[in-house]
Amino acid sequence: MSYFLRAADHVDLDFDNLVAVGGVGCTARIPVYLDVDALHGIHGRVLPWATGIKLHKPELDVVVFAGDGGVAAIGGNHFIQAARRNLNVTVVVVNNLNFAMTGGQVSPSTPKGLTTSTTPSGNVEPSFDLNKLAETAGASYISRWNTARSAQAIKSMEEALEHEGFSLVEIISQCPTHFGRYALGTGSPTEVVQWIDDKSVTEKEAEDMSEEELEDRFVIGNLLKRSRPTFEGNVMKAIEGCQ
Amino acid sequence: MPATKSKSPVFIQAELCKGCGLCVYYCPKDVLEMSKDMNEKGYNLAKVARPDDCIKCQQCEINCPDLAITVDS
Repeated sequence: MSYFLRAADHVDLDFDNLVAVGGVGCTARIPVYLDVDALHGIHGRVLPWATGIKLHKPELDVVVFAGDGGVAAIGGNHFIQAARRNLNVTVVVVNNLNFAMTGGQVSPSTPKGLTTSTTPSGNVEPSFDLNKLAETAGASYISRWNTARSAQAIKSMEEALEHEGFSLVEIISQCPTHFGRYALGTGSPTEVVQWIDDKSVTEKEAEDMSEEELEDRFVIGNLLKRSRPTFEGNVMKAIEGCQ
Repeated sequence: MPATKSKSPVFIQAELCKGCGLCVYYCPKDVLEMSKDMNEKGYNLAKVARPDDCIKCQQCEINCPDLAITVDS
């Protein structure tokens, strides 16, 4: 939230013209704390709401706050469709690598081999790379940072807010209460941040690394920026064509 | 409760602090450290131990999850 407020301040975002959308989850409380029009509802359905808002009033800025549970698991399909349409919203995904609010269950983004409350002998599934998914689906701005690189994360949020099209900013974030306790055996937030940062490689470093080496790493950086026609722009054009 | 005031550029609002230690971790100059003082919720607070070393990079302010820290810039 602090990152978003700073980024919004730097780009002079008009809070009277902003709708913040959040579902259920650790991250979803953010719109409630902000002094903006906000929508807070069921888990994983943030992007359908954002689509509705954008189609009804395309001039509004819409920022979606979601977690890995909201966009990778339960709202996975909504995420793919919104990225495919290139809906002009900024999606801030705070990825804490597990379902933290409900007790630390395994999520699609939990790295392989780690213990969670529902995988006591280690997660057998490989984790989900949201950025690659968004890139294939058609998102037009993609970046990933972690909480140890706050300056870069804020900068990329600024770019995402100014970008026309589906902008995804994924922040790998610490969850000492559940992820730390089950997966890493520590309740210390600083140790979890350090673990995340140790596992992170920049895009440039990743170029020289093999696929196996990158398997349990987080590739961070401003990964993609491209220009595509937006969904609401296409819809408005179609409506004009019918009249 | 008023903010904990010192001569330092860093102000920590004691009633918001939950003693997670992230500010101590992020500070590049070791200005902050955990103290044995407690707030009314029973959390050990962070304190400004070496205010003169502060370079006002605002890393503690940006990364405090409870927005308890303000840096005078």
